[in-house]
Amino acid sequence: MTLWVYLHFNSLQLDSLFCEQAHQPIIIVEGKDNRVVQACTKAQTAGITIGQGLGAAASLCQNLQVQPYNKELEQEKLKEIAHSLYTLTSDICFFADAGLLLRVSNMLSLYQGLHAYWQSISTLLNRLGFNYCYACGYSPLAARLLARNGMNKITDDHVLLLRAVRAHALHESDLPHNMSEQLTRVGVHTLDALLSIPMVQLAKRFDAELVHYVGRLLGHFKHPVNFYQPPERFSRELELLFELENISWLSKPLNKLLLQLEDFLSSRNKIAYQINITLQQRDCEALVVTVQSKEGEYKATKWLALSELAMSNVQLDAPIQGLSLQAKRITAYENTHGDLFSKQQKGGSRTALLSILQAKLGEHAIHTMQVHADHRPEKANSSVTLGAETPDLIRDASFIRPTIMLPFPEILSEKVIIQQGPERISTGWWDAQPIIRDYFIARDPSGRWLWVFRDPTQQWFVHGVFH
Amino acid sequence: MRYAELFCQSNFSFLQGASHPEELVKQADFLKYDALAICDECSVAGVVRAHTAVKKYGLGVKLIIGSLLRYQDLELVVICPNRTAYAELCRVISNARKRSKKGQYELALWDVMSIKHGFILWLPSLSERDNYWASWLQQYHANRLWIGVQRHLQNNDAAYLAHCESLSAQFSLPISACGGVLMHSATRQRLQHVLHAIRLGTSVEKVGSTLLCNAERSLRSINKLSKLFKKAWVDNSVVIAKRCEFNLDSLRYEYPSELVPRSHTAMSYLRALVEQGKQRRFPNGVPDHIIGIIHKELALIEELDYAYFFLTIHDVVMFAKQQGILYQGRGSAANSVVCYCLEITSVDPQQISVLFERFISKERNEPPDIDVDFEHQRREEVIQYIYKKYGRERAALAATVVSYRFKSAVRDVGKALGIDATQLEYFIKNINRRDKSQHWQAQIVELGLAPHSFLGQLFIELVDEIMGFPRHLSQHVGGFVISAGPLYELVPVENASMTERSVIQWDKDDLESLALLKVDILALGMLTAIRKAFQKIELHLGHRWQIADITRLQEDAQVYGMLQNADTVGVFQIESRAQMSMLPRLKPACYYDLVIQIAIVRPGPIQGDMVHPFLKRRNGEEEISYPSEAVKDVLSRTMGVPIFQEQVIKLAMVAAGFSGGEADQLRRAMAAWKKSGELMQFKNKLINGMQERGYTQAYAEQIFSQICGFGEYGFPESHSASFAVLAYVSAWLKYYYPAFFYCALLNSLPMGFYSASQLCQDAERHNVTIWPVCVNQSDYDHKVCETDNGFVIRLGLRLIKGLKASIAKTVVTERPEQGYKTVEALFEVVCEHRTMSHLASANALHTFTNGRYSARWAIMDRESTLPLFRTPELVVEQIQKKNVAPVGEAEEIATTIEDYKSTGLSLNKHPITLLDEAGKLAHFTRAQHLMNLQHKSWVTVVGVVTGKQSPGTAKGVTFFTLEDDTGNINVVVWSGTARAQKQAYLNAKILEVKGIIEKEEKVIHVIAGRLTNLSDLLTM
Repeated sequence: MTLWVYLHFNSLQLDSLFCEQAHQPIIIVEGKDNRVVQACTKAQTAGITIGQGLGAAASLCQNLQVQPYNKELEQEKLKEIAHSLYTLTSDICFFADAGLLLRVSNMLSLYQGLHAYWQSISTLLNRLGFNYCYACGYSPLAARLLARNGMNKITDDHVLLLRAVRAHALHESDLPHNMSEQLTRVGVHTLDALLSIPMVQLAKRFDAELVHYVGRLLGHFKHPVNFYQPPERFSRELELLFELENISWLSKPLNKLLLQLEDFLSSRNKIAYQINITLQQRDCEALVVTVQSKEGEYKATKWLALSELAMSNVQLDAPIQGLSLQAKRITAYENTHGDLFSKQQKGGSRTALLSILQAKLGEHAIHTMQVHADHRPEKANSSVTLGAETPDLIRDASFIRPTIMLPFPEILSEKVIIQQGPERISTGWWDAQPIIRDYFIARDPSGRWLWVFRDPTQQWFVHGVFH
Repeated sequence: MRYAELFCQSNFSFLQGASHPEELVKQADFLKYDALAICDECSVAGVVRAHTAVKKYGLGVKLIIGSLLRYQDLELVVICPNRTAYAELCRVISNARKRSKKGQYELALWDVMSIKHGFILWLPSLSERDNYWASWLQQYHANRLWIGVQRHLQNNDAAYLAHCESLSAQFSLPISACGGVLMHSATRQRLQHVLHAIRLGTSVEKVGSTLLCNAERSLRSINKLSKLFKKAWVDNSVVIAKRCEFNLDSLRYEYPSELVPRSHTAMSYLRALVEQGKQRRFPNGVPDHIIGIIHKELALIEELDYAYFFLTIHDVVMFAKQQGILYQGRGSAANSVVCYCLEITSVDPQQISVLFERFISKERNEPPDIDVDFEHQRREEVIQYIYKKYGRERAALAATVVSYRFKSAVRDVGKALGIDATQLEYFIKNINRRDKSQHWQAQIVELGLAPHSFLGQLFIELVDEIMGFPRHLSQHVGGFVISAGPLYELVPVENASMTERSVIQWDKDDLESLALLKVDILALGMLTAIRKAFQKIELHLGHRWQIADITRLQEDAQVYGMLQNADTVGVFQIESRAQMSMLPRLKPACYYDLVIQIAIVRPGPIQGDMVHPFLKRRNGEEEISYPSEAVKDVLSRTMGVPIFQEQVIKLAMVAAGFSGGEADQLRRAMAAWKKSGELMQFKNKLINGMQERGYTQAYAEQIFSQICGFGEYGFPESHSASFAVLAYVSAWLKYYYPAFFYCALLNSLPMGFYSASQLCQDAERHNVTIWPVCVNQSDYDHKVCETDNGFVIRLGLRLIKGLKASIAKTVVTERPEQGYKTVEALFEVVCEHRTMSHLASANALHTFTNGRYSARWAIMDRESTLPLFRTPELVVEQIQKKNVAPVGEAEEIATTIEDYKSTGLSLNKHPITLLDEAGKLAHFTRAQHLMNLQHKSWVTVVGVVTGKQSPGTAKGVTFFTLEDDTGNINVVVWSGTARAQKQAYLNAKILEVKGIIEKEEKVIHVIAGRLTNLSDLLTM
């Protein structure tokens, strides 16, 4: 039978907050039902238990810091752990609720025994610094059950493991609540009792789910699992035969690496969104140039063009001795370019243009205009970095507003003739930037139409010009 | 320049208007407006408040009733020039409301067309459809139609004005200025923004340009308005307002006339009914003084024209009597001889004649107050009777205005300011509103809200401002309005959330202000229990009791003895632990003592510090003195200490010279004093009035502070008197017919303070045997069985959780004479696995199975019910082979847990007995032995936590009730102790308490020192 090890990370999010250094007790709370899912030691000494309601927890502890549970973060952390473990063990599988399952049997010959294997695994885990519980089992479910209940023992003793499994109460297992409730109501409280019932008798009375569970727990039924595949990486280095002082001469060697990248990507039908070019400088720190493509790219020629733009801004501190290329954010290529007859193929797309501009000018140099539905003219529109836009709020199009707004209101210095108004704008109390103004449309002596306002001190200003 | 505001919305246009109706009329008066029209959207819910304010403060502004109506892009303000127009508007609103579910409306074009008397202000929308609407409106409403022009200093004002003027010219429609007012003052702009954001379910910052861009939708000065509008338009508003003559005071309530036979007038019919009742109630002849009272009462009823009111209630209670539904009237008017004769109440006037001087009081100007309680399980029959008799057009429930309270305010304002929802929940859960030492603002700062931060400041201010704002209308618990004609001509009627119920748009205060009467049809669990006990007694013993019979017996010393020992589990009104701890001190020995007992253990008297003076005087430890004869008259029956609400009111009249009307205002201010703080305005008047009449300043101050303490919690003697009757009757039943009494209580659950489990334990302590649920013995209800050793209670199938009543009843009706012999036989009747499991779990199959687990195990076998396998042999075989069940009968703890799970009580051993027998508990003292301990000695008690209360009257104290196998223990936990041991304090289901015992006569408390949570002992 296959031996498995199960790792249960019971406070993954908490551990990744580095909160042990914090002075305040911290708890992680599931947003849906406000239950505590993780609690730091400080919080636990204050009497907070896992599964408690937020209200109860909060009243136990005055200066409690509450963080919402973040499933994505945990998943990400779990992936990182799997990735590190992958160097030591080949078959890793993700389980729900922050668990990793390792297939041990096929690794034993490599490590000469279970203990040597565990030695290296646990050393790595301890270095990563996450809290975890662990256990062995002759089925994934058995290992999971024991680990989640904190057995923390590595053994391949069949009898001992089975005995440990049988000692657990039903509610400690993975059985759905209603099923363990049903079992309790016929007097079955422990796995021991459950496992002593013949399968046939169970099958007559319960859903197939229970029979499946028992079968899998004992290892009688196969438990299909999907093993972890590490993400694709592309990283190549190139030693230069002679030092380069002029960055523009880099194109040729870089192209060589980019062609390799193209091969790598195209054979996998993938594209990359970012590449990092590392330039090894003589006696100086290496220089990393990040090049991005908004729409994703695999062609060497395209990447080269973007890279050249990006590198044209780079100042070298010393001659370059070598370079390396890493591709980041690789995803499967999906054809979004429409069909043969689509008219949009002509010319570069907007995203391609933005990639080029960003490569040349820097990532944060490109801004765009955004309209806000706010009565205050200063807040009605703003310039934001590309990519930071929020969806436009509906704004009444019938508003009469000048074509040209002055960056700041200027004091009105000439006599004007009021044509229309007032439009009183007094709002903005919520963000501490309130205004009280009466706006008018007026004509100045030269015949220009101005947008002017008067403030509560009766001071007049020009704020815009109608075209 | 003069102006009348014809379009103003109050905060009864929910989440639009940002000012109370009272604020609006006051401000309009201050600004010297000629008139103000309150025009909430499809509603007149706020108008009575405005009307009351106008009268109360003697405002010069004229109140006009109207409503804003929207149909597609058509916006109209309809205002009422006269009563006919008002009835018409109410009908339109009712129709629009009834087409839609609660809180919404759907106007039809026909509704608009059918307005024949109301004045219409049309608000053009600056769209192309305006031309169409102009000609359409003119076709139906010429001469009553104006264009309502508003100016809010917006971007498009110029275009809008031009548009309106061109419409006016083109269709020759006159223009009137109007304000579209949403706030009484510009300072409410922030709140209006918040309300708007709440309405859209988002935050103020994200609402964007649909927010008002300025504060112009407030009441503005006439000076300003005269600059914004053409003079002719402003003048028009005044002209229109002048033509509106309708006043809410002209509303008269017409009673249904079908109650009176042709040959009678209402009054003569009432007299005849009272005459008949006299014979029934006083079979041995009516005493002379009672005859005198009856004459006085009838004269007063005639003078105030209340005969119909009494007839209406009489009709309802006669229906209940016919149906055998037990009822009891209460309230000031209920405790009259007339009501006794009409059988509205059973309070025997001979016993408590002292009460009758406070019948309907003419000088106090109160409407007669009669609430009738009915059996809670059968009240619906009475309600359906009313609907059937008067029709849905003529009967509806009064509304209750649901307002912003602290929690809802924090939640909604917080969301509108963009504060995180988790944070808000955290605030709400951790603010103790009862903590009087710290106002909520201080507490919220302690919880981490930065008080000086901009947002923190806003949050605190806005939450304070929004509290008390109406949020929506809901239905009153049982206040019916019944009228002669269709109700919708009096007040709009809308749908309630319960289907088939309709509510009017006014609440009980509004009705009271307009002197409209409502009939309160309330539900009371104890009446159900008493009726069931009476029925069972008649069935088994052949004696037919009635409430009036029991009250007519002499006061029973045995029964009062029981009450003095605080043995009152299940007794009406005096079963709470606060009442129980007062009983041995107050030692009630007669009916009137009970009346006081019920009223005195209330927040009012406790906060007003009236309990201890009363106790002292009663025990003769304090001298009873009165500052004057007049005061003595009022207070002598409660030994000089004001205990009842009526006494306080009367005191204000005789000692401080309040007029009837003023006293009534005082009564209302008391009822609302926490909300409005209005009470303070009476302070000077009261104290000056008392000093003028020769009372000392100190005495006057003391009376006023008592009034404040009383506040909204003062309990009226007239209600207490009726409750005392039920309290006495239930105590009497408990004493003389315990088995019947407990059985009736169990059959009337849910009601009262105690669970089935607690009642059963109390019953066993009173030597009533209880037999378990059994499919072969139990009925659906619990029943009383006769045995050689007296009466026992057999629990009924209704106790089993999850069991459908219909199936349970089938099990009983289909039961063979010899009972069910096999699981198979039972299954043929039940036909449902789930039900079988419920029965098995409750151990109801114990006569023919080997315990609940084997029964369940057998039942769960699906094959046994497949036709092919359904041979009796197989089933029998399986049940005989009880070893098939995975484990033998589990230990007793499991049994007890299983009992609680399936029936909510266990006749098995008490959890504390089980733990003690299992040796899991260290030395402790049981409830029944506490009596033998010395006052102030150390003690350890253990029990199941059955109650936890932090009453507002006892600061910083929590009362725990622990139950062990011999009784209940009262534990007092000080806040310091609680804070230090929060874990046990908050979570324990089984608690060990080490502490000091406190004994005062028969009242025993354990003052907790250390709390230990023992809940884990019972988990398996």
